[in-house]
Amino acid sequence: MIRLTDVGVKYSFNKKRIEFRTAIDNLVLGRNNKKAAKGEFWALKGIGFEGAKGDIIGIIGSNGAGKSTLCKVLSKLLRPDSGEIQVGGEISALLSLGTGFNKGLSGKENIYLNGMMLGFSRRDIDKLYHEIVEFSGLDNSFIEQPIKYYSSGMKARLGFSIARCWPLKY
Amino acid sequence: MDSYIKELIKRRDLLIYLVTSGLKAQHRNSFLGYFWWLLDPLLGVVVYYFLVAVLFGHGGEAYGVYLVVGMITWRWLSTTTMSSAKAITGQSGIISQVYLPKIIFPLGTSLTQLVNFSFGLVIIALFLVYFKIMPGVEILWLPFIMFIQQLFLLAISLTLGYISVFIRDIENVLSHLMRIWFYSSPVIWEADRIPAKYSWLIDINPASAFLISYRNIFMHGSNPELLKLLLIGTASIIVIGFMIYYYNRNEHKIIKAL
Repeated sequence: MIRLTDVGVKYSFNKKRIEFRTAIDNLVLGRNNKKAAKGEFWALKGIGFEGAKGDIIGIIGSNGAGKSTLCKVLSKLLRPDSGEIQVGGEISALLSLGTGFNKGLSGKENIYLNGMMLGFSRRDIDKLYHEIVEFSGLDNSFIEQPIKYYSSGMKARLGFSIARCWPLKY
Repeated sequence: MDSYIKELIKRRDLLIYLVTSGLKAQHRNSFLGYFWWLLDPLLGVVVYYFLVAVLFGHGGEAYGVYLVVGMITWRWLSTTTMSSAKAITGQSGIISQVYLPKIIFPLGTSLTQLVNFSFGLVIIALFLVYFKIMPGVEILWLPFIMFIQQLFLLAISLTLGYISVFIRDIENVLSHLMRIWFYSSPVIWEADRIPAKYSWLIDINPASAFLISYRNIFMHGSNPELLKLLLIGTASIIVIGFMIYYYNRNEHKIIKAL
Protein backbone atom coordinates (compact mmCIF):
# COMPACT_ATOMS: atom_id res chain seq x y z
CA MET A 1 0.00 0.00 0.00
CA ILE A 2 1.25 3.38 -0.97
CA ARG A 3 -0.55 6.61 -0.24
CA LEU A 4 0.59 10.11 -1.05
CA THR A 5 -1.32 13.15 0.10
CA ASP A 6 -0.52 16.62 -1.14
CA VAL A 7 3.18 15.89 -1.48
CA GLY A 8 5.50 18.71 -2.45
CA VAL A 9 9.24 18.88 -2.92
CA LYS A 10 11.06 22.14 -2.81
CA TYR A 11 14.54 22.99 -4.01
CA SER A 12 15.76 26.20 -2.52
CA PHE A 13 18.73 28.11 -3.74
CA ASN A 14 20.79 29.59 -1.04
CA LYS A 15 20.02 33.24 -1.51
CA LYS A 16 22.62 34.47 0.93
CA ARG A 17 25.33 32.38 -0.69
CA ILE A 18 24.59 33.77 -4.16
CA GLU A 19 24.50 37.30 -2.82
CA PHE A 20 27.74 36.77 -0.97
CA ARG A 21 29.45 35.36 -4.04
CA THR A 22 28.24 38.22 -6.22
CA ALA A 23 29.55 40.66 -3.65
CA ILE A 24 32.96 38.95 -3.67
CA ASP A 25 33.01 38.94 -7.48
CA ASN A 26 32.15 42.64 -7.52
CA LEU A 27 34.86 43.39 -5.00
CA VAL A 28 37.54 41.55 -6.95
CA LEU A 29 36.49 42.71 -10.39
CA GLY A 30 35.50 46.19 -9.28
CA ARG A 31 32.07 46.14 -10.88
CA ASN A 32 28.68 46.64 -9.50
CA ASN A 33 26.54 43.81 -10.75
CA LYS A 34 23.38 42.72 -9.09
CA LYS A 35 22.32 39.15 -9.59
CA ALA A 36 18.73 38.38 -8.87
CA ALA A 37 18.70 35.36 -6.61
CA LYS A 38 15.60 33.30 -7.05
CA GLY A 39 14.51 31.88 -3.76
CA GLU A 40 12.97 28.49 -4.29
CA PHE A 41 11.54 26.09 -6.81
CA TRP A 42 8.83 23.51 -6.26
CA ALA A 43 9.66 20.40 -8.26
CA LEU A 44 6.49 18.71 -7.01
CA LYS A 45 3.39 20.32 -5.65
CA GLY A 46 0.15 18.85 -4.43
CA ILE A 47 0.77 15.29 -5.59
CA GLY A 48 -1.65 12.72 -4.26
CA PHE A 49 -2.50 9.17 -5.28
CA GLU A 50 -2.96 5.73 -3.87
CA GLY A 51 -1.64 2.39 -4.96
CA ALA A 52 -2.66 -0.98 -3.64
CA LYS A 53 -0.80 -4.26 -3.78
CA GLY A 54 -0.66 -5.57 -7.34
CA ASP A 55 -1.30 -2.22 -8.98
CA ILE A 56 0.93 -1.16 -11.81
CA ILE A 57 1.14 2.57 -12.07
CA GLY A 58 2.65 4.48 -14.96
CA ILE A 59 3.71 8.06 -14.68
CA ILE A 60 3.83 10.18 -17.82
CA GLY A 61 5.11 13.71 -18.19
CA SER A 62 7.38 15.92 -20.22
CA ASN A 63 10.98 16.67 -19.34
CA GLY A 64 11.30 18.24 -15.95
CA ALA A 65 7.77 17.37 -14.94
CA GLY A 66 9.05 15.67 -11.81
CA LYS A 67 8.72 11.95 -12.59
CA SER A 68 12.14 11.09 -11.22
CA THR A 69 11.65 13.39 -8.27
CA LEU A 70 8.46 11.52 -7.46
CA CYS A 71 10.32 8.22 -7.63
CA LYS A 72 12.96 9.61 -5.34
CA VAL A 73 10.29 10.59 -2.84
CA LEU A 74 8.79 7.11 -3.03
CA SER A 75 12.12 5.45 -2.41
CA LYS A 76 12.88 7.60 0.65
CA LEU A 77 15.70 9.42 -1.11
CA LEU A 78 13.98 12.75 -0.78
CA ARG A 79 11.89 13.81 2.13
CA PRO A 80 8.78 15.74 1.06
CA ASP A 81 8.73 19.36 2.17
CA SER A 82 4.99 19.32 2.41
CA GLY A 83 2.31 16.67 2.54
CA GLU A 84 2.61 13.13 3.68
CA ILE A 85 3.66 9.78 2.34
CA GLN A 86 2.66 6.42 3.75
CA VAL A 87 4.26 3.22 2.62
CA GLY A 88 3.45 -0.25 3.86
CA GLY A 89 6.33 -2.61 3.20
CA GLU A 90 9.74 -2.02 1.78
CA ILE A 91 10.57 -0.13 -1.34
CA SER A 92 13.66 -0.72 -3.37
CA ALA A 93 13.99 1.50 -6.34
CA LEU A 94 16.06 1.21 -9.42
CA LEU A 95 16.33 4.68 -10.84
CA SER A 96 18.94 3.89 -13.46
CA LEU A 97 20.92 0.91 -14.66
CA GLY A 98 24.47 0.51 -13.55
CA THR A 99 24.06 2.70 -10.48
CA GLY A 100 27.26 3.12 -8.59
CA PHE A 101 29.38 1.01 -10.87
CA ASN A 102 32.98 1.42 -9.89
CA LYS A 103 35.09 1.36 -13.05
CA GLY A 104 38.16 0.05 -11.31
CA LEU A 105 36.39 -3.00 -9.91
CA SER A 106 35.60 -6.18 -11.79
CA GLY A 107 32.15 -7.15 -13.01
CA LYS A 108 31.87 -9.65 -10.19
CA GLU A 109 32.77 -7.09 -7.54
CA ASN A 110 30.33 -4.63 -9.02
CA ILE A 111 27.52 -7.16 -8.81
CA TYR A 112 28.21 -7.51 -5.09
CA LEU A 113 28.56 -3.80 -4.56
CA ASN A 114 25.34 -3.09 -6.39
CA GLY A 115 23.39 -5.73 -4.51
CA MET A 116 24.66 -4.52 -1.17
CA MET A 117 23.66 -0.99 -2.00
CA LEU A 118 20.14 -2.18 -2.62
CA GLY A 119 20.23 -3.74 0.82
CA PHE A 120 21.01 -7.38 0.13
CA SER A 121 23.44 -9.27 2.28
CA ARG A 122 26.52 -10.99 0.95
CA ARG A 123 24.83 -14.35 1.34
CA ASP A 124 21.75 -13.29 -0.66
CA ILE A 125 24.02 -12.24 -3.48
CA ASP A 126 26.04 -15.46 -3.37
CA LYS A 127 22.82 -17.29 -4.22
CA LEU A 128 21.89 -14.98 -7.09
CA TYR A 129 25.33 -14.43 -8.52
CA HIS A 130 25.31 -17.23 -11.09
CA GLU A 131 21.87 -16.34 -12.34
CA ILE A 132 22.98 -12.76 -12.89
CA VAL A 133 26.12 -13.72 -14.78
CA GLU A 134 24.25 -16.23 -16.88
CA PHE A 135 21.51 -13.78 -17.77
CA SER A 136 24.02 -11.12 -18.75
CA GLY A 137 25.64 -13.56 -21.15
CA LEU A 138 29.06 -12.18 -20.29
CA ASP A 139 32.07 -14.39 -20.78
CA ASN A 140 33.57 -15.87 -17.64
CA SER A 141 36.89 -14.29 -18.51
CA PHE A 142 35.31 -10.85 -18.67
CA ILE A 143 33.43 -11.05 -15.42
CA GLU A 144 36.75 -10.96 -13.51
CA GLN A 145 38.05 -7.93 -15.45
CA PRO A 146 37.63 -4.32 -14.34
CA ILE A 147 34.56 -2.98 -16.06
CA LYS A 148 36.43 -0.11 -17.60
CA TYR A 149 37.54 -2.64 -20.23
CA TYR A 150 33.92 -3.49 -21.02
CA SER A 151 32.22 -2.22 -24.13
CA SER A 152 29.24 0.02 -23.51
CA GLY A 153 26.98 -2.83 -24.62
CA MET A 154 28.53 -5.17 -22.09
CA LYS A 155 28.10 -2.63 -19.34
CA ALA A 156 24.46 -2.18 -20.27
CA ARG A 157 23.95 -5.94 -20.25
CA LEU A 158 25.51 -6.30 -16.83
CA GLY A 159 23.50 -3.37 -15.50
CA PHE A 160 20.29 -4.81 -16.82
CA SER A 161 20.80 -8.32 -15.57
CA ILE A 162 21.73 -7.00 -12.13
CA ALA A 163 18.52 -5.00 -12.11
CA ARG A 164 16.41 -7.90 -13.35
CA CYS A 165 17.58 -10.59 -10.98
CA TRP A 166 16.91 -9.09 -7.58
CA PRO A 167 13.96 -10.82 -5.99
CA LEU A 168 11.39 -8.07 -5.99
CA LYS A 169 7.92 -8.68 -4.67
CA TYR A 170 4.94 -7.48 -6.62
CA MET B 1 18.57 7.30 16.40
CA ASP B 2 18.08 3.65 17.36
CA SER B 3 16.65 2.79 13.98
CA TYR B 4 19.45 4.66 12.26
CA ILE B 5 22.07 2.60 14.03
CA LYS B 6 20.11 -0.56 13.25
CA GLU B 7 19.97 0.43 9.59
CA LEU B 8 23.71 0.99 9.70
CA ILE B 9 24.32 -2.43 11.24
CA LYS B 10 22.17 -3.98 8.53
CA ARG B 11 24.52 -2.44 6.00
CA ARG B 12 27.72 -3.72 7.59
CA ASP B 13 28.42 -6.00 4.63
CA LEU B 14 28.38 -2.97 2.37
CA LEU B 15 30.67 -1.07 4.72
CA ILE B 16 33.21 -3.89 4.75
CA TYR B 17 32.94 -4.18 1.00
CA LEU B 18 33.45 -0.46 0.45
CA VAL B 19 36.59 -0.59 2.57
CA THR B 20 38.13 -3.69 1.01
CA SER B 21 37.24 -2.86 -2.58
CA GLY B 22 38.48 0.70 -2.08
CA LEU B 23 41.79 -0.62 -0.82
CA LYS B 24 42.11 -3.03 -3.72
CA ALA B 25 41.18 -0.48 -6.36
CA GLN B 26 43.80 2.00 -5.06
CA HIS B 27 46.86 0.32 -6.50
CA ARG B 28 45.35 -2.18 -8.89
CA ASN B 29 46.84 -0.74 -12.05
CA SER B 30 50.29 0.13 -10.79
CA PHE B 31 53.30 -2.03 -11.63
CA LEU B 32 54.27 -2.52 -8.00
CA GLY B 33 50.69 -3.26 -6.95
CA TYR B 34 50.13 -3.92 -3.26
CA PHE B 35 53.78 -3.19 -2.57
CA TRP B 36 52.75 0.49 -2.60
CA TRP B 37 51.00 -0.06 0.71
CA LEU B 38 54.49 -0.26 2.23
CA LEU B 39 56.31 1.97 -0.22
CA ASP B 40 54.00 4.96 0.18
CA PRO B 41 54.69 5.58 3.87
CA LEU B 42 58.39 4.70 3.42
CA LEU B 43 58.97 7.28 0.69
CA GLY B 44 57.32 9.96 2.80
CA VAL B 45 59.90 9.30 5.50
CA VAL B 46 62.84 9.21 3.12
CA VAL B 47 62.07 12.68 1.75
CA TYR B 48 62.06 14.34 5.17
CA TYR B 49 65.02 12.31 6.42
CA PHE B 50 67.00 13.65 3.49
CA LEU B 51 65.79 17.18 4.18
CA VAL B 52 66.43 17.31 7.92
CA ALA B 53 69.25 14.87 8.60
CA VAL B 54 71.25 15.18 5.37
CA LEU B 55 70.64 18.72 4.14
CA PHE B 56 70.22 20.55 7.46
CA GLY B 57 72.45 18.20 9.42
CA HIS B 58 70.01 18.13 12.34
CA GLY B 59 68.51 15.25 14.21
CA GLY B 60 70.13 12.97 16.75
CA GLU B 61 71.21 9.38 16.60
CA ALA B 62 67.83 7.70 16.40
CA TYR B 63 66.30 10.45 14.30
CA GLY B 64 65.31 7.90 11.66
CA VAL B 65 63.02 6.13 14.10
CA TYR B 66 61.78 9.40 15.53
CA LEU B 67 60.86 10.55 12.05
CA VAL B 68 59.27 7.32 10.88
CA VAL B 69 56.98 7.11 13.91
CA GLY B 70 56.04 10.76 13.43
CA MET B 71 55.47 10.60 9.70
CA ILE B 72 53.35 7.46 9.79
CA THR B 73 51.21 8.75 12.62
CA TRP B 74 50.80 12.04 10.80
CA ARG B 75 50.02 10.30 7.52
CA TRP B 76 47.10 8.50 9.12
CA LEU B 77 45.81 11.76 10.49
CA SER B 78 46.20 13.82 7.33
CA THR B 79 45.00 11.28 4.76
CA THR B 80 41.89 10.59 6.80
CA THR B 81 41.11 14.26 7.20
CA MET B 82 41.73 15.08 3.55
CA SER B 83 39.80 12.15 2.15
CA SER B 84 36.86 12.55 4.50
CA ALA B 85 36.13 15.96 2.98
CA LYS B 86 35.44 14.09 -0.26
CA ALA B 87 33.83 11.06 1.36
CA ILE B 88 30.25 12.10 0.66
CA THR B 89 30.65 14.56 -2.21
CA GLY B 90 32.68 12.01 -4.18
CA GLN B 91 29.86 9.46 -4.01
CA SER B 92 27.16 11.71 -5.43
CA GLY B 93 26.43 9.17 -8.18
CA ILE B 94 25.41 6.54 -5.67
CA ILE B 95 23.81 8.83 -3.13
CA SER B 96 21.38 10.34 -5.62
CA GLN B 97 20.23 6.89 -6.78
CA VAL B 98 19.88 4.63 -3.76
CA TYR B 99 18.89 5.24 -0.19
CA LEU B 100 21.79 4.58 2.15
CA PRO B 101 22.63 5.88 5.59
CA LYS B 102 25.08 8.54 4.46
CA ILE B 103 27.24 8.12 7.52
CA ILE B 104 28.52 4.92 5.95
CA PHE B 105 30.81 6.84 3.57
CA PRO B 106 32.92 8.84 6.04
CA LEU B 107 32.93 5.74 8.23
CA GLY B 108 34.32 3.68 5.38
CA THR B 109 36.92 6.31 4.55
CA SER B 110 38.33 6.41 8.03
CA LEU B 111 38.41 2.61 8.33
CA THR B 112 40.29 2.40 5.03
CA GLN B 113 42.95 4.66 6.46
CA LEU B 114 43.18 2.50 9.57
CA VAL B 115 44.22 -0.38 7.33
CA ASN B 116 46.78 1.84 5.61
CA PHE B 117 48.18 2.79 9.02
CA SER B 118 48.57 -0.89 9.92
CA PHE B 119 50.88 -1.26 6.95
CA GLY B 120 52.76 1.75 8.26
CA LEU B 121 53.36 -0.18 11.49
CA VAL B 122 55.33 -2.70 9.45
CA ILE B 123 57.63 0.12 8.31
CA ILE B 124 58.04 1.28 11.91
CA ALA B 125 58.98 -2.26 12.91
CA LEU B 126 61.61 -2.40 10.15
CA PHE B 127 63.16 0.86 11.37
CA LEU B 128 63.20 -0.35 14.97
CA VAL B 129 65.08 -3.45 13.88
CA TYR B 130 67.52 -1.47 11.75
CA PHE B 131 68.27 1.04 14.51
CA LYS B 132 68.39 -1.80 17.06
CA ILE B 133 65.76 -0.32 19.35
CA MET B 134 63.81 -2.81 21.40
CA PRO B 135 60.48 -1.49 22.74
CA GLY B 136 59.56 -2.58 26.26
CA VAL B 137 56.29 -3.88 27.64
CA GLU B 138 54.84 -0.41 27.08
CA ILE B 139 54.27 -1.51 23.50
CA LEU B 140 51.10 -3.15 24.83
CA TRP B 141 49.58 0.35 24.90
CA LEU B 142 49.65 0.42 21.10
CA PRO B 143 46.08 -0.84 20.50
CA PHE B 144 44.81 1.64 23.07
CA ILE B 145 46.48 4.63 21.43
CA MET B 146 45.30 3.48 18.01
CA PHE B 147 41.77 3.11 19.32
CA ILE B 148 41.75 6.65 20.68
CA GLN B 149 43.22 8.02 17.47
CA GLN B 150 40.60 6.15 15.46
CA LEU B 151 37.86 7.72 17.60
CA PHE B 152 39.42 11.14 17.12
CA LEU B 153 39.64 10.69 13.36
CA LEU B 154 36.13 9.34 13.17
CA ALA B 155 34.84 12.46 14.91
CA ILE B 156 36.74 14.60 12.40
CA SER B 157 35.65 12.69 9.32
CA LEU B 158 31.96 12.50 10.23
CA THR B 159 31.96 16.24 10.79
CA LEU B 160 34.00 17.22 7.74
CA GLY B 161 32.18 14.80 5.47
CA TYR B 162 28.86 16.43 6.27
CA ILE B 163 29.93 20.05 6.29
CA SER B 164 31.85 19.89 3.03
CA VAL B 165 28.67 18.92 1.19
CA PHE B 166 27.30 22.36 1.95
CA ILE B 167 30.50 24.36 2.04
CA ARG B 168 32.65 23.13 -0.82
CA ASP B 169 35.37 25.62 0.04
CA ILE B 170 36.44 23.31 2.84
CA GLU B 171 38.32 21.08 0.42
CA ASN B 172 40.36 24.04 -0.78
CA VAL B 173 41.07 25.42 2.67
CA LEU B 174 41.90 22.05 4.14
CA SER B 175 45.16 21.39 2.35
CA HIS B 176 46.54 24.67 3.66
CA LEU B 177 45.26 24.11 7.17
CA MET B 178 46.81 20.66 7.19
CA ARG B 179 50.18 22.11 6.25
CA ILE B 180 50.00 24.57 9.15
CA TRP B 181 48.97 21.75 11.46
CA PHE B 182 51.85 19.61 10.17
CA TYR B 183 54.51 22.20 10.94
CA SER B 184 53.02 23.12 14.30
CA SER B 185 53.06 19.48 15.41
CA PRO B 186 56.23 17.70 16.47
CA VAL B 187 56.38 15.47 13.40
CA ILE B 188 59.74 16.39 11.94
CA TRP B 189 61.01 18.59 14.76
CA GLU B 190 61.71 17.31 18.23
CA ALA B 191 59.15 18.14 20.88
CA ASP B 192 61.63 18.82 23.70
CA ARG B 193 63.52 21.42 21.67
CA ILE B 194 60.64 23.86 21.55
CA PRO B 195 61.23 27.12 23.52
CA ALA B 196 59.21 27.23 26.75
CA LYS B 197 57.40 30.27 25.40
CA TYR B 198 55.75 28.15 22.72
CA SER B 199 55.20 24.92 24.63
CA TRP B 200 51.46 25.63 24.72
CA LEU B 201 51.51 24.77 21.02
CA ILE B 202 52.17 21.18 22.00
CA ASP B 203 49.77 21.18 24.93
CA ILE B 204 46.72 22.19 22.96
CA ASN B 205 47.48 20.07 19.91
CA PRO B 206 45.77 16.66 19.90
CA ALA B 207 48.17 15.49 17.18
CA SER B 208 51.13 15.97 19.49
CA ALA B 209 49.48 13.84 22.16
CA PHE B 210 49.42 10.95 19.70
CA LEU B 211 52.91 11.62 18.36
CA ILE B 212 54.47 11.78 21.83
CA SER B 213 52.55 8.72 23.02
CA TYR B 214 53.64 6.56 20.09
CA ARG B 215 57.24 7.66 20.49
CA ASN B 216 57.10 6.97 24.21
CA ILE B 217 56.04 3.39 23.73
CA PHE B 218 58.21 2.65 20.68
CA MET B 219 61.44 4.45 21.55
CA HIS B 220 61.60 5.60 25.14
CA GLY B 221 60.02 2.67 26.93
CA SER B 222 57.69 4.98 28.83
CA ASN B 223 53.95 5.29 29.16
CA PRO B 224 51.74 7.22 26.73
CA GLU B 225 50.18 10.54 27.74
CA LEU B 226 47.21 8.80 29.31
CA LEU B 227 45.37 11.82 30.64
CA LYS B 228 45.40 13.67 27.35
CA LEU B 229 44.43 10.58 25.40
CA LEU B 230 41.47 9.91 27.68
CA LEU B 231 40.41 13.50 27.31
CA ILE B 232 40.61 13.32 23.51
CA GLY B 233 38.78 9.99 23.52
CA THR B 234 35.92 11.33 25.65
CA ALA B 235 35.54 14.44 23.54
CA SER B 236 35.58 12.34 20.37
CA ILE B 237 32.90 9.99 21.64
CA ILE B 238 30.67 12.95 22.43
CA VAL B 239 31.20 14.39 18.94
CA ILE B 240 30.57 11.00 17.29
CA GLY B 241 27.37 10.52 19.25
CA PHE B 242 26.18 13.96 18.31
CA MET B 243 27.06 13.41 14.64
CA ILE B 244 25.09 10.15 14.46
CA TYR B 245 22.13 12.00 15.88
CA TYR B 246 22.71 14.85 13.45
CA TYR B 247 23.04 12.63 10.38
CA ASN B 248 19.84 10.87 11.34
CA ARG B 249 17.95 14.14 11.50
CA ASN B 250 19.52 16.02 8.62
CA GLU B 251 21.02 13.68 6.07
CA HIS B 252 18.05 14.04 3.72
CA LYS B 253 19.33 17.53 2.99
CA ILE B 254 22.51 16.12 1.49
CA ILE B 255 20.95 14.86 -1.73
CA LYS B 256 19.50 18.25 -2.56
CA ALA B 257 22.83 19.95 -2.12
CA LEU B 258 24.93 17.51 -4.14
